[in-house]
Amino acid sequence: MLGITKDVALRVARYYALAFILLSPLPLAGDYITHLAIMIMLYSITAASLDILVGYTGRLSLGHAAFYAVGAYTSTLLSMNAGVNPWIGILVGGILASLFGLVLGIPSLKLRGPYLAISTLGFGVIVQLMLINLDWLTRGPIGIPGIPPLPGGPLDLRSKSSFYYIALLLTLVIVYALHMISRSRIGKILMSIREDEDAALSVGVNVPLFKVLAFIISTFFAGLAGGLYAHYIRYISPAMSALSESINILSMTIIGGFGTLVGPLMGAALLTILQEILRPYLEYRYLIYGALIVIVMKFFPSGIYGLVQSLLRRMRG
Amino acid sequence: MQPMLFLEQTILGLMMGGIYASVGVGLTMIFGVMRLSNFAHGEFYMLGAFLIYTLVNALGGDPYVLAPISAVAVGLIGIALNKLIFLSLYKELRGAKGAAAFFFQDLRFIMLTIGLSILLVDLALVLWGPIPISIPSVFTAHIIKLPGGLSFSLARIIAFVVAMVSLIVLYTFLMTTKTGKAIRATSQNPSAAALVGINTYKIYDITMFISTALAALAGGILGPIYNIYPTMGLDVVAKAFVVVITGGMGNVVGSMLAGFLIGLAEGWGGLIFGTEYRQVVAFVIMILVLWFRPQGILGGRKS
Repeated sequence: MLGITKDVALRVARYYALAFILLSPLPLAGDYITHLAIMIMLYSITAASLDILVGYTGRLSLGHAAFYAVGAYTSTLLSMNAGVNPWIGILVGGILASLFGLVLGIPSLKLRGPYLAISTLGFGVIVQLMLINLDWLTRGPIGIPGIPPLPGGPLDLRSKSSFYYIALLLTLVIVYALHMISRSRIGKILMSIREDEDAALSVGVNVPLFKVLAFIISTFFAGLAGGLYAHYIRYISPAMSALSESINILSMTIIGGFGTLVGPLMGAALLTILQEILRPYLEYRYLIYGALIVIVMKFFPSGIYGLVQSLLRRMRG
Repeated sequence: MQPMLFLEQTILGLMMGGIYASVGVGLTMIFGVMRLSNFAHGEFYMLGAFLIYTLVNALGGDPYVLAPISAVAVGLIGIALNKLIFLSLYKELRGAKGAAAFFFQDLRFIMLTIGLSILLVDLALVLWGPIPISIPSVFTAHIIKLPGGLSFSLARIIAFVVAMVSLIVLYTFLMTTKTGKAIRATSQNPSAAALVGINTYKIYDITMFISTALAALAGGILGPIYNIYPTMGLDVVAKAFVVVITGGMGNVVGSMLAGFLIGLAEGWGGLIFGTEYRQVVAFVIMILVLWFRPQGILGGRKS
């Protein structure tokens, strides 16, 4: 379908099994480590989904957390007010987030450079203000507690170790799906838009269609991650759509290494762990965080993934 | 709707508009001259306010007298950051094309300034603490009564006058002086400007100085009216970008006009939709402008 040969499928299946086996004993390390691992996986999905937009299409978004929040609120409200099965709620949340992505994607067709960044920032602010002010629906700034857990059949997904395996499986599936999209014709076209939009147009690429498609794909997976988060933490608030959260996700994508999909996973892991380590030094936390962004952007523009690659190359000689 | 309330919101909107204009003008100059979207612009506004607070505590005296000193100090910080962080990137940017150009122009600069913004906010948090502080001034207590039951504090009127004067001075400087003309030339075509002997990197320093000093001045003169706190710049920078886009990026006169327009729209929007939707009004205007007139209300790019 997407040009998968039997050979490639086998190789991917092998990596997949390897990743699962390598990561599966983590819950033995206790609830705290398991919780961190789950948060890293949820952020990995969001950061990797943003990479389709930023790294592959060259479109900067400063409002990605808004889509994460749309997914979380949709699934929460559906399950709590209408009794919808959370699994279906999460899917609907992803679809609704991608509809918002479509709405934001269409005006962005005309916009380049900083204009798009600022309009996505504005979109994020509007979503956050709506979540705060529509209190009959969202309970305003207090947020919504007591969200039902995901139904897991025989598994009790309230326990961190059971949720861990579901999250691991979903993360592998979603990141694999994003990987296949980036390797497919769609991914190549998105990269051609990033490299030179006018050249892509001149060889007959339907540039507007693919730009909007990038928005839809990217926001759909961000919405899914938001829904998973809501049913895991079981409490949501408008803070999850804040600009600082969007910047947090963007930092993961970019510090990790944009346009690689693996980079954002590294970024998600590094920044989540770093925030945990810096938690005791609360007041200096963002000082270090900000300095890290400045240093990476000034000296290692291809991110940690790029750094690791060049180190490996040097070791091989 | 009560006409007096409407008049009051109009005047308050215009006064706030003056502040938006002076913060927006600095932001638009940086973009026009250096192609840099400075997301740390609001932090210079914040630094201006806190520096005055420190100066008032250390030296005594009135914040309005000390405002120019803090503006110049923040301007010098701006030059230092320019030399330390951005200079080498401008040089790389000149030769970049395709994906590399995207990477430099948007992503790398925007992320750098966002990182800088996070760093400066936290620095202020460590130095001055998270609790909102007020800067006392004798003028805050002076209330000017206008006919019809309207009254404004003298501090608010001074803030408006200072913002206006600084905008007029800046406009005259850009239009008539040799340096002002060099700044405009650099913004129109950096390579041609360099060809006729303009040291464009020096122009970048000067632009950065003007931009950050203006932001600091705006923060300083608002200090005696509102409380100051480390994240105060974040709210303003979003508004400043709305102003800059509405006025046309890089267009100084457009930003001045758009500043007042957004201030007014917020005042009126607050009356019509309720104060909690004030912020939404500004962003909806920006999105409408992006849809129908992406080049801004005045169109074109001027500096």
